[in-house]
Amino acid sequence: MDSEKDSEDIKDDKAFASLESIQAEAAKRHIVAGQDIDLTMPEQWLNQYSLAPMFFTTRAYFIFTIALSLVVASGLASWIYQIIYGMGVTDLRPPVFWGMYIATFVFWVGVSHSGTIVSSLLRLTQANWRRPILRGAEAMTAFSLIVAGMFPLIHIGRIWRVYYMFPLPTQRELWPNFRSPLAWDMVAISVYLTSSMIFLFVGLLPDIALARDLCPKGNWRKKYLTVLSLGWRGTHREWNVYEKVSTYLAIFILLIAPSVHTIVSWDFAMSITPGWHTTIFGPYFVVGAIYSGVAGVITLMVVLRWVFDLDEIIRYVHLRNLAKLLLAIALLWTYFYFCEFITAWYAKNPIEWRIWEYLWERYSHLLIIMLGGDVLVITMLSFSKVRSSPILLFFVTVLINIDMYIERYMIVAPILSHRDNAFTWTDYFPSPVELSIAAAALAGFFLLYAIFAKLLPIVTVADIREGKVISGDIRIGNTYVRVRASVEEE
Amino acid sequence: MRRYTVLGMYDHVDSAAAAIGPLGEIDVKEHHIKVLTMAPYPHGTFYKDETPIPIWRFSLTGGFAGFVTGIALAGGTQMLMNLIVGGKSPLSLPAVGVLTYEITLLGTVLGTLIALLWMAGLPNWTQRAYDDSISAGAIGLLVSCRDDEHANMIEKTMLRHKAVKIKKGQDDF
Repeated sequence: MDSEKDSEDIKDDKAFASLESIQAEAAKRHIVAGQDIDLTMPEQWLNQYSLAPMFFTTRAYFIFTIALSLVVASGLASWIYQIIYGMGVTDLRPPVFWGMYIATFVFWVGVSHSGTIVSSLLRLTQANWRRPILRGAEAMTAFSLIVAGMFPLIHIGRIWRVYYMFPLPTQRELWPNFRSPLAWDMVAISVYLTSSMIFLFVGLLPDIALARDLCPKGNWRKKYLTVLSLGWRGTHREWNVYEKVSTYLAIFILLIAPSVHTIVSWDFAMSITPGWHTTIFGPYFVVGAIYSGVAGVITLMVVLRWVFDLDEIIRYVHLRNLAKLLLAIALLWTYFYFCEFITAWYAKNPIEWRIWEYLWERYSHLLIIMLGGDVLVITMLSFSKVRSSPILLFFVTVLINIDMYIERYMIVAPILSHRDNAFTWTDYFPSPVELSIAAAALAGFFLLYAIFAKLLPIVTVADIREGKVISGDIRIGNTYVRVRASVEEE
Repeated sequence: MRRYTVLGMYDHVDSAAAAIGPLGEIDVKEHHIKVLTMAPYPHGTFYKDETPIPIWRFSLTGGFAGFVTGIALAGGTQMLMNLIVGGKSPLSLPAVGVLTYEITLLGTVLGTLIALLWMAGLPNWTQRAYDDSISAGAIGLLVSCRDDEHANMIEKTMLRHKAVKIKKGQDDF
């Protein structure tokens, strides 16, 4: 694979071998199935291999980021066009006030959920296989929330009036109407974004210090790595505090995350619109968010393996374990589908039933993809071969997120287009401007991730090191099994 | 505050742990020792540090501050600037509950972050005793000592216990 170091001074640094030699060493290593960490990894090699995505730029990375930048640029141009010419350039018109923008917003908030939830749950349950995937999952939350947060701004049209949502007394002494679930939503997402960023930063701290130490003098990263590492030296006191703080934050994140998507669901459920006003929406949205989020984590792990050659760190066992988790959530999600449908079907409330009929008449193709996709996902994930194949997992998880996007879209737009008075009924199909902005959101998410990988360590080196410290292989009969010291407090 | 310090680097955790006892024999108390590593080792690997880490106090204080802010923001503003809607109370308790919950949790998270910074003594960008080989997996025993003579005794003890490198100086501990 072609590569070039992005700074001359790195070439002179003895701490870093060439990318080719790091990759050749990785290829020589035998990846033993079932082992989450290679205990024979030399420390220096682990450092170089883990930080290689930061200091070396491959051709694949260049192509990937340029393509993403072009899509983001087209989305930005569309947004500017919308700001200049007004909301008329979208297909949003009465009674469809919420369309693709809100569906995309809900989708990205959903994707954000599993990152920190998975990370927190695995941390708290001391699941040792968690270590290499933590950073990727936590970063996913932060970036998908940033992308999600853009959509209310895009959706309001007149962006310069966004301060109406902030708690500032206006000349008429009116504060934002805190009775509106939209205001709750803004607060909840701000809280979740702040907390997720803090969670991500705290986890990053020892690894930033590592990157600071390994970064050659004069390299442009040295300064900000020194500032961001906060002077971390890895004293036992620092580690003790760090471990406790990580546990506390994991608990708090678990209290925040479900509440956020519940509040997002209340944007719909607190209204009296048929199809939206339902008690199941809170848990339904939360489970849906975890489902699409876990799928997103797997997609990202596979992409990271491909783009940065991290096969030695993100191993089959991690993908397999995540896939098992995904299968369990897929079954739970199907149960929610069933509950939602069976109550509407059995009660046959005329207004609610009419919505189902309408969805089937106009959107049967999307319903078939959504429900058929769900069946296909469960069937595929039931096979061990699929759970062990990065390529198949990539397709399965992308399919899940396509299904989940359709599901969000079906909640938002069709219900509004067919509500209240029959003479207002209309059809909604997103305009090119809306499609372009939604595509830019997807590209923007991956672009943020790609930039992050260049600026900060994408691999949780300290956690992997901890795994190495507390693990060992012991021989029992003709086999070796991995054992771990319990690090729980007495 | 600058002090005489000796930083001994060890290749192996057992050598570093074994050096702690003999250091005590030459009048080095446990609170004069800092172990520098790039991975968290289980509690008691080097010595039992019983210094309390009451993170919960910060989290609780942050949570309380968040709770008060939440009530004030969601409830106080509704009471202060009434938005009268027919048949509804001027104060919407569900709204107050939801916002207070969120802002309380924000307070706990911020409180916990402050706890990390406060208790770990961060940020601290001053020149402190450190060696980059710690990043490569070496273990550092950083000892604060009285004077040059004491530093020499510590150096000898460390070398006797398989220290691979010694750095002496006057640094922030």
